[in-house]
Amino acid sequence: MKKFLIVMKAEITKQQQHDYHSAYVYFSLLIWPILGFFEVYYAYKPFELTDYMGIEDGKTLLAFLGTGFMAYTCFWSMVQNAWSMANQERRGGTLEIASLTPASRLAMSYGRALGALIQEVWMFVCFCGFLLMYTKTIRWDNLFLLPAVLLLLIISSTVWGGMLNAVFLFSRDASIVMDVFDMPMTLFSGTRVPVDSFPCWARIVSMVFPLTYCINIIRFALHIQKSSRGWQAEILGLLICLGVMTAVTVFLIGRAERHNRETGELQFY
Amino acid sequence: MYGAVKGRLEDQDARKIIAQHLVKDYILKEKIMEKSGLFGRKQKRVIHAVKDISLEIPQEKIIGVLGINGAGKTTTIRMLASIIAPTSGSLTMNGVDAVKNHLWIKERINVISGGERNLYWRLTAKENLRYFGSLYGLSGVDLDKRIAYLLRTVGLEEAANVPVERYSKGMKQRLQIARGLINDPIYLFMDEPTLGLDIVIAKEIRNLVSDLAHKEGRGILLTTHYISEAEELCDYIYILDKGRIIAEGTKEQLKGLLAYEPKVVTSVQEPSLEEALIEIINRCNS
Repeated sequence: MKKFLIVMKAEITKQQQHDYHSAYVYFSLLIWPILGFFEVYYAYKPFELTDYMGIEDGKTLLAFLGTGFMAYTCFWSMVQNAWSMANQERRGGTLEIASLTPASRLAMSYGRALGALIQEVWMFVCFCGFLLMYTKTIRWDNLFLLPAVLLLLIISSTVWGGMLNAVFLFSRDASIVMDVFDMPMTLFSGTRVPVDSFPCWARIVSMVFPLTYCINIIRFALHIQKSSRGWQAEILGLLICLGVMTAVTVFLIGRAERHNRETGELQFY
Repeated sequence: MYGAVKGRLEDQDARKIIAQHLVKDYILKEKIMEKSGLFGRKQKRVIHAVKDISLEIPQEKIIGVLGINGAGKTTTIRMLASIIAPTSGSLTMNGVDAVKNHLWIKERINVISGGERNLYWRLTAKENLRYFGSLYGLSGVDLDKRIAYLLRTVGLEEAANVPVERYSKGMKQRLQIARGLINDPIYLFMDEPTLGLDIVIAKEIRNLVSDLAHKEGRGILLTTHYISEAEELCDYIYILDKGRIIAEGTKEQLKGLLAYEPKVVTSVQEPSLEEALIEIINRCNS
């Protein structure tokens, strides 16, 4: 366990040292997510909001979108990071050197995910935190919910990111993963639109994304929106998703390791 | 310890890597274009990268593996370093089955290759070594001491906090060597460690390699295209061609093989190892 934690810490530190070399990084950390957020907010604002799925006024809309974007940014940063790190590591030959070591591949995958999460989303999460306070969604009496929400996001995103890192071990060009998880995840997980407003087929699709459960739980806990499925169902759904993702991660890492022992390449094509 | 040792052999005290009849086949997927159709189809073909290799790497010795491009040197190193598993054959390290205990082996070996890859360019030398050391489970004061010692050994103390992207080729190669020594390996596999370096830096690296084997007691397997390097460093040499060992011996023994073939002795001087190597490969191919 000690070695597992050492490897995770090393991955987090390495990412921090590798990526923070330019002030431009703050554009992706804060400016672009905020621009995206306000683009959607001002697209919705002119329309009359009379208790549409629990969104009653401008402030509720802000809180609704703030929570959606906060969770989405955490999950999406995992996709971007897995893609870019896998490419860099493969080209730089460091992936092969890492595969030469006896370090736990699971620790490496989760370490990379957690490192990316901590460094890439903290500024935007702070912004969303202030937004929730401004809209009085978070007040003194329910302030304890903020760390609980953050913990939920960290655990879910890390498990999700670990799985994506394992997926990218297989391929030098898994850009299809970017396509699958960009627009579909934004739409179906309810980042911008309440899932309950979807037709039945779209609600079924939304159940595939762990982000859906995460957003629903956060909005339920902060009294922004009720879930038609009930909070117990959302938590159960999230736990099942996390379990499946962990199992998939372990399976993929095992396969990648076996494949690497066969061919010497941490890639399938 | 990352894994329990399985299948320990009787000869536990042997201080060497022993490879016997190693074979490695790859499956190559070829794209066949049809006359009609856009995508073509894929056809599998088996490539015999290494056909039958038996060799030994004792500790305190530098073993050379020479051969032309495509001879199977890199595949051999990858098998010996437990990066890939052999298709058949046996491989033991100090009496331990290396195929079954590859995690145990990985703690005790390392690979150093020539060129400028395998390092994080944006990180400093210290940060690179700290990261790679952590992957071996090292941490805290022990790791700091190890890093300081290695940076001193390879002469990078003053550049320890400079990002690698600002290093010269020679400095990068020295850092590669430090990286390869971070886990204090018993055996080192060096794939063209002086590739592209100027003669002064290359000489420094050769001296370091010699010390690692003869003073520190590590077993080293070295591949190189610079014959003079092999001549200077290697205690024993294997010559590979088309995935097989076609000759082996000390440099004197290999040169001696030419004595039976008067046509290649073009001067009164003793034939060089380079002449011997070319002649042996030519004879094998004819």
